[in-house]
Amino acid sequence: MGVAVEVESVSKRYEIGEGSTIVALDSVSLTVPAASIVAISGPSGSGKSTLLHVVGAMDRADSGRVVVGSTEVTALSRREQPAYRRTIGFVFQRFHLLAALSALDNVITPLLPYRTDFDKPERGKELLAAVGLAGREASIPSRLSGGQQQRVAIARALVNQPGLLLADEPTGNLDSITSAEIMQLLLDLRGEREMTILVATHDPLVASRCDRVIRLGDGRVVDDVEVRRVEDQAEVLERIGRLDVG
Amino acid sequence: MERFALAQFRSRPSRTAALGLAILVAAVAFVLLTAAAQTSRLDVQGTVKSNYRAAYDVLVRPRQSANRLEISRRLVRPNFLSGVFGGISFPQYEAVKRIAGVEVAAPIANLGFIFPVLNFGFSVEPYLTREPVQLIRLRLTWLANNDTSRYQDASQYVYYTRRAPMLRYMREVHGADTLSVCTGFSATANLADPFARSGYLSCYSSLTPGVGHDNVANFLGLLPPRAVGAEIGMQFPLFVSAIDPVQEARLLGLDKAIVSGRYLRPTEPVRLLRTSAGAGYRASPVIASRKTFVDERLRITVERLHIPPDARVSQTLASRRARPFLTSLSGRVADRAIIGTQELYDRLLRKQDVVGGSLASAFYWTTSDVRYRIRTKDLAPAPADNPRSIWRTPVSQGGFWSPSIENQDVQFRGLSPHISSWSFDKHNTINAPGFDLVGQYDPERLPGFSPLSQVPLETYYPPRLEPADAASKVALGGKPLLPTQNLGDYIAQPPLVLTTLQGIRPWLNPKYFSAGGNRLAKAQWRPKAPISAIRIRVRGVTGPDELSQARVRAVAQQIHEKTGLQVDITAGSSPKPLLVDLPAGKFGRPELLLREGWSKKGASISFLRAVDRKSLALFGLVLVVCAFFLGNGALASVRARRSEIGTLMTLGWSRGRVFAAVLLELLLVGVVAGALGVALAALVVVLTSLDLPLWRTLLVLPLAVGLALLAGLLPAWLASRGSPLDAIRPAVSGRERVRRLRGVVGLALLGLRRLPVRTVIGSSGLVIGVAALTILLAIQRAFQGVLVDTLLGNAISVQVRSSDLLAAALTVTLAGLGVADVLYLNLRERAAEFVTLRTVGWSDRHLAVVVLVEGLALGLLGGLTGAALGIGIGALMLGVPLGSLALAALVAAVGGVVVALVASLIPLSQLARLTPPTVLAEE
Repeated sequence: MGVAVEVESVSKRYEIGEGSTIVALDSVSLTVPAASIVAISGPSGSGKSTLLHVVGAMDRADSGRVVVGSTEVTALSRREQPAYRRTIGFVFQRFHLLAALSALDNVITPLLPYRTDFDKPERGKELLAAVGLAGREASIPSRLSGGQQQRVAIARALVNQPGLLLADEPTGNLDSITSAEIMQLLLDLRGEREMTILVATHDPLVASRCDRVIRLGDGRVVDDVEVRRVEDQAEVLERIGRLDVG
Repeated sequence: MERFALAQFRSRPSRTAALGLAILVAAVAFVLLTAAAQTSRLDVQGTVKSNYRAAYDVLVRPRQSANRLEISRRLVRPNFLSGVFGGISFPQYEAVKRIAGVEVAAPIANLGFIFPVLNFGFSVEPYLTREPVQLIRLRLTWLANNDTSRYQDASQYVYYTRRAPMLRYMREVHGADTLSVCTGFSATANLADPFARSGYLSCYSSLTPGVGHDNVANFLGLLPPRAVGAEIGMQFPLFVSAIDPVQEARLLGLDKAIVSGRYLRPTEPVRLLRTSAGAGYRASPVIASRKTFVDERLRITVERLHIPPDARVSQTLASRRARPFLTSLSGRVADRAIIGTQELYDRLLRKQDVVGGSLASAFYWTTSDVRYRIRTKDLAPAPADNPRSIWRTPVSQGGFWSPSIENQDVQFRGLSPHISSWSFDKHNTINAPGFDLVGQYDPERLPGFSPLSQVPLETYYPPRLEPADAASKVALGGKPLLPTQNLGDYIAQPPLVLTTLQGIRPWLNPKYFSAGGNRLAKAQWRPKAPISAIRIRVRGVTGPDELSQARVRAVAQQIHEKTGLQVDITAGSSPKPLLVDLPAGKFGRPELLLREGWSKKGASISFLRAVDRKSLALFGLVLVVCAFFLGNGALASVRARRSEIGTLMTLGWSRGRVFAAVLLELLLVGVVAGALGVALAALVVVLTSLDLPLWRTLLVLPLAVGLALLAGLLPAWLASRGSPLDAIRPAVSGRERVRRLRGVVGLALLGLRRLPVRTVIGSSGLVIGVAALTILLAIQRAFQGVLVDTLLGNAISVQVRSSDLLAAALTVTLAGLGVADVLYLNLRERAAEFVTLRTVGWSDRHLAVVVLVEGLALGLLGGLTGAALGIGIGALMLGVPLGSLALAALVAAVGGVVVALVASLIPLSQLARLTPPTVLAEE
């Protein structure tokens, strides 16, 4: 079941040496209802990834509050973070599969240190089938195409049956057709599993297929568009395209 | 190109520093260790073929105690003990005893000559006649060297009257007057000449028998109170040495040679005794030889003197004319008696309390050794200079002590008296000790050894000096020359009295005993290091086989190394008679040509300063392991920059250039580390005053550079073999064969399997270190540090020094750093994977387990392989017992694993830095 995400006035700065800092997030607030798929859009350096990291408890906000479902993420201690991370899924632009492991092993990697009341490889096989990779369980990542690798990564993100999936430029390394396939996969998964999905992307085509597009610029929310109809999609395409080019 | 090399330093300064530090430590350690392990190497010439076993295998003597002849001709002189009064300290002796392989270490500490008084009564009653007044002379002559030397000793006189009675103190009654007939003679005694023998006059009257008990012989109980006779007194020189009773029993079975009384007890204390008057003195327990080797005869000629008819005997004897009157009288020989020194010695021993006696000894004498003029055919002993003034003592009447008359003859040894201050301490104890005879031994009961290889046993026998030409044979009656009572004679008396090492201590207190006399003899008296020689029997010596010889050599070398003493291998010695041309004496002994039984050493040894080759090899291991470490680092660096190098090649860099660039990078590290290393080594040398010329620390620089270049060769070559296509291949890729993964541990092991070369190199340092440590520890345990065995038919001896253990420990430590580096490199190259694992919900603990398991696996791989290798080499090639090996292997392997685990903590600390923003930002 999907969970709602609430981000309240979250700020994050990075020191980049010699005393100068960059503001990655500047008092960002947003609310994502459960089971919706929301694109976080914006050019490079706009704070998309940082926002996902903060929501995924992989980075700490300097201030503000993040609540995912019933968990106040910003209040988690370092020891509590891993347990929280197991309730969400994460997909990266570069897939970050473990090169030495088979597709199946990669999928069940998050379970490795833990006991489960189900058969891990069985779960892995189901998920690989769910992402369209049935029969490729034994393949190592270097033998898979980019799209296939990302499917493995998505399967891995689903292995803990998360309520929230965070996808950081999931199509960034893929050609446009494969991108579309991956996006469709995410939409299908949302439909089947009622997950909440946050997709950071600068690809207008990807963004336009989400329920909603939140655009960031210089660490701030500059735009928030509901996408309900085909016209909305066109508008999104136009807005994002203009912004990104500009 | 330089920029390419420098870029790596800038981007990873701490890793570069770690590589540099490893080079620095290895190079500095190598140079310093080789200096610390500079040691004496035993150089052996000649081998021993037969007649191997003698009483002892190794003779240890004070530094520089071998004379030129002994060194140049590989000889041991037969009288090696005489003239040596110390030079080996008690701590040195203890150090020798502790050396592995020493079965028996029997010390002998020469004290010197003491002079117990032997006197006996000689009755003249058989020679008395009916004459009213009789004078009898006992003429004493010592005959030595087959009677060729004749020494006239003091004559004793007896006055016997039938005319007048005597009162006490030999006052002869003449009417109302008395005449002190016995005082005139002794009043004119010459006490200012140590060799002027005055003798005594004893006076008796047949009319008052029994009053004569005032005469010395009767007074001392040497004759019955009414008997008529004279005292014959002498101070019989006895050579005293100290032994360790336990060691001596083990070496020669001296305890089995005891014929009366008992043997010395191991730690027999010096007893504090008191005379009836209450004065205390310290008495050291002694055992005495049953046999004296002093070969002399005392001839007592009894003469009835012709008294001139007009002589007024009583009046003359009471006056100062007594001496010239008596000595000028001629006489008729009535009888001759001959007493040998063995019989005199027997009498001495029978009066047990007289050996050293219940009286403390006021002095003892030491001698120098004999100096030779070495001639082509023979040796000519050089006479020593002993002026009469050396006999002067503050405690003797007249200022001189009267030594045996034989000491007027030619002397070949300098003499040094050690005279007690003769004072009492606050406990009324005199500071001149005495001796307490507890038993007697028969030197002839000591076991004999192979006559062909007999090494000198001067402790119990004098050296053999056989006449070597016809004239000498005639002069000596075909018999060997033996010692006399001349302390400075060529041939010296063996020790006849033996005490314990504790027993001579009271005699060595320089506060109470001074040294004087002959300069050389004085210099050779070393009361602070009183042991003169140590005779060593080596454990496990069975014959002239190579292994036995190696054992003897190992012990000899260690003794020399640990004490710096003169060491001779006497095992396998054979007699090497030398001719000695002994000048004529002043008392009739003609010039003699003698054959003396020197010993030719079977194996002669000399010590060269050199570094033990085995230690050098061990120190080399430090360098090898460091090279592994560096090589791994360079390989990783090349791997990490494969795409970069590929890019450079697409831009037109030649392979040679790539090769040089990679090498240059390590070269720079080597130069910087080497320069710092020179400074560090110099500092260490100065601070610890290590025995190393300062210029040698400069060797650190070329060593460091060479090490860096060597380690860089393979990676540089690999880099130059790369192709431009590498630019687009991932640095670490998966392997084709995929196994089922089981848990966190499986993932860690997979990490090691992915880079097998790195894993093997990373653990091989541990293999080497643990194997070396295993063997060293096992030898240390099984053989107390010295292994002597045969390897491939060649006898070897391995001596474990602390610097060796240090080198092995350093090797293991460096290997640990290598493990840390492998883990660090693995971690860095898979940083993205670790971050991914974290994002998918792995906790820090799980990630730490991966790193630790990798470290543990490397430790186990290296440790167990190393232990197996150590056991294999130790058991198969060195014959070390398996039990010791197993224990040592366990210790070394556990040590290796622990080092690897501790090393894992370094990369572990890097884990926390692996957060998505930092790592993914690097992507």
